[in-house]
Amino acid sequence: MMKTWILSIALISALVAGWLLLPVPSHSDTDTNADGDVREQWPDGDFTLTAARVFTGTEWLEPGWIEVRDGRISRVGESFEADPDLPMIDLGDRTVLPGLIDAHVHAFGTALTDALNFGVTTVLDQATDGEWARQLRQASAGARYFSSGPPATAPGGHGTQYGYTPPKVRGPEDAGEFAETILDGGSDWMKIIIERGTGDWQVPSIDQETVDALVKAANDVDLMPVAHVSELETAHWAIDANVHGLVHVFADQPADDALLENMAADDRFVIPTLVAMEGVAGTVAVDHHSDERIAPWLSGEQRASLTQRWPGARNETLRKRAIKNTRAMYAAGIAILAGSDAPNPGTAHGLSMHREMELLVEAGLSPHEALVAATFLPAKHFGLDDRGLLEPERRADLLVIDGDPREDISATLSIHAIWQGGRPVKRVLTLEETVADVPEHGRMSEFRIDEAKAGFGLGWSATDDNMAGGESTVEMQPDGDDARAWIRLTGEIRSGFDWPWAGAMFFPGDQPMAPVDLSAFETLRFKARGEPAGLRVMAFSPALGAMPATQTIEIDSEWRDFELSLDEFSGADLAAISGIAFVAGPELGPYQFDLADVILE
Amino acid sequence: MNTLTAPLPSSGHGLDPRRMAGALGHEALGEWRNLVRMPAFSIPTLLFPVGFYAMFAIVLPFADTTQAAATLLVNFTIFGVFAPGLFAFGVGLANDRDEGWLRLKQTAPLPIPVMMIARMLVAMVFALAVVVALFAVAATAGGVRLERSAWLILAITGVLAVIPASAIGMALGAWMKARAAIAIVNIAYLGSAMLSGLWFPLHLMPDPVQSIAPALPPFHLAELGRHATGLEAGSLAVSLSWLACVTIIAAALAMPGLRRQERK
Repeated sequence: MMKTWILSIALISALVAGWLLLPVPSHSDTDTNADGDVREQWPDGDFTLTAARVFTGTEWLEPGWIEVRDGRISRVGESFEADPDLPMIDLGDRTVLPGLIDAHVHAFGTALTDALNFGVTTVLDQATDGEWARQLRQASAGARYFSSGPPATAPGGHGTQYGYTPPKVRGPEDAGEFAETILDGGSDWMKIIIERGTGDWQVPSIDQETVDALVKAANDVDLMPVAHVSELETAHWAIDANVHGLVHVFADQPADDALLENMAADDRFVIPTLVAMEGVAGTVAVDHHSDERIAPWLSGEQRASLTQRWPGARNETLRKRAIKNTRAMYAAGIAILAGSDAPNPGTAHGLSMHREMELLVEAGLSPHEALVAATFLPAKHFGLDDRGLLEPERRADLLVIDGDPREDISATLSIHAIWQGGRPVKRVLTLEETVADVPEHGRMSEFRIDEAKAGFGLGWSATDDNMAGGESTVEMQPDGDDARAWIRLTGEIRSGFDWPWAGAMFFPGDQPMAPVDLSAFETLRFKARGEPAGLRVMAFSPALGAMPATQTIEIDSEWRDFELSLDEFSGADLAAISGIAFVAGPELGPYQFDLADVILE
Repeated sequence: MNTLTAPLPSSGHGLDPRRMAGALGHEALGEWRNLVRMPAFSIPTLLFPVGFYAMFAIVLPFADTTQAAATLLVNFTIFGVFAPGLFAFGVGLANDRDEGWLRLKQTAPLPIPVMMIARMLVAMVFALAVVVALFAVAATAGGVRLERSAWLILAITGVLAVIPASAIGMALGAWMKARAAIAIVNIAYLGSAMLSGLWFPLHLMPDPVQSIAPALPPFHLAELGRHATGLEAGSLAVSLSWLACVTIIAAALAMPGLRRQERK
């Protein structure tokens, strides 16, 4: 009997141990974007770079070399004799891609900078106001912009609900004038909206005859006609009329062979915008909270559109049909172009291009083909012969990522660097956008016997390594006597995270980790006592990424005064400090320490 | 006195829970020895899923993304855990009947349900062994990375998958002769695995197959596995209720078959 018990317990322990040993996804990807100082050494002018992998837009060079002069690529190859006068950038085991081209956006607000922040160096706007388009074409920052300008749509039809009025297309008779108008307005192609609505949402649409007339008018003025459709039937109208591409995949019913054959035979393209379909279907699957490759880089507008939802229930069928039709088109040999339709609900400029590539892979494209769909094919079909490919004479729009996207397409999110027209792009940490002003005084603590009151900012809270997967514990307790009030930190440092910590964190901003300009101060003074041990003081700054700058002090059972020079927090940007922490660890075991009179001077 | 108020028979063997547990334990141990000593059952049950998984996920380049790697593991886990219950009952029960064991057991002081539960528990142990073997391969060579909770839920799903598999096996085994059972259970097993998309992605299958899949239990077990691992899947409630229905219907179909034996 005893033996059976021992055997059972041993077996169960073995199962539990085995379970604990199973591999989990890696969440801490801290060095990806944290090496800002390295990038600042990169030249603004001509240079040569090399990396383990270069994807040119159509093929792979392993390793790859690229020479950039005057913002354009001058040489590309698996190796060449580098010009000794040019600075040399060795990107090591990384992948260089052409800057991504989002073939379907609607740009306003911070769209262009948001897109560029995620490696999208060019966007194609598929319907907007003529005047907005004119301004965006001249924008000095952000992704380069091309646009259809205003769409051809029926009066009161789809496309008229966005706060601008496109030139009227009442019927075939208006087609010629419409084409002339948008040509004069600077349109780069013509977008035709054929949309009759669905369910409760019914809208007037231009008819088939008008589609024919518009395509003819577009050809007369040398604008490429493309069409918005959401039904198989209207897709037939568009393709029969000879539009060059569809800017969405339809999901009302499966694509039929006639359509697939016609599209494939005439080298038509489709921009499925599966990520927007995912939004419509209510099946959005982007982790914008904890994914370190996403969360810190999102602007307010990106966050807003990403979390916005269409009304209505989850519609798995719609999503499946969209994927299935995309797969059918791909299988038929029709060119698939990556486009996000941002900022529709559930999408975000820039970010959603990466999700679109994942979805294209789900629809059957290989990661390689998804990359072609996001670089070379949009350039080819929209006549942008100065980008989309890494070859001599084209613009040096480059996206450098960690890892090999052929193994996992989502590697494109692990952005290491971006060049646009040969100039390094400084990625914007969203937190930097909101650096708060210098506090008037530096009294971090105004502790009371019963309250861990702060002099400014969000104040004091307990912190431990559980957020990084650790097991350490902490309890923060205000206390005091006649001489002073303090906070007492007690707990245990346990193994679990590689660099275990636990203690107290001071947030200077009005939100956790919101950076504040502390550059007016030079010194951090405080009193501390506790069980004799080392105590680490850590400064967090967006410039450092997730790894704080640390100074260590020794405490013992008597109150002692400490004075740390802020300059000694090496690498931290004092103009943007997001937190200051006082923690025990990494030595394991129980700890206890008290903090009082914490002040910046 | 009508039957509804009749006192329960006091001479029954199944009423003392401690004795029941003891009987269950002995029966399970007996079942275990029986199955382990039957290499025609134990070896393919353990080796086939691991072998096929290794072929698809490691030898052939199908696990080229993290999603694909997880999908393959889910599919072959379900493929693997569906066998022990199905065969232990489908073939085992038919054998028992042909060889007269069932009659012997029916006369022995052991309720048939206890015997069935014991057999199911043993099948669950086999399923767990399949899961352990597959997870070991997936973790070391298959490139599968899952949250700790996902590993656990997938394992639990695998073990509990024995319940519908056993019920279906029971329905088959209660009605068939041993010789026919081996062939038919194999066809049912391999056929439903294939048609449920466990071997090849459903979207590569012809349309009629795609429409059959949602009727098959392995498809819904795989759906549970996909839910467990965060892969794209349909409604959890639909899959659970469908599996519950199938289990109940199969058990209900098996009952008259077992009774028929009693009356013989």
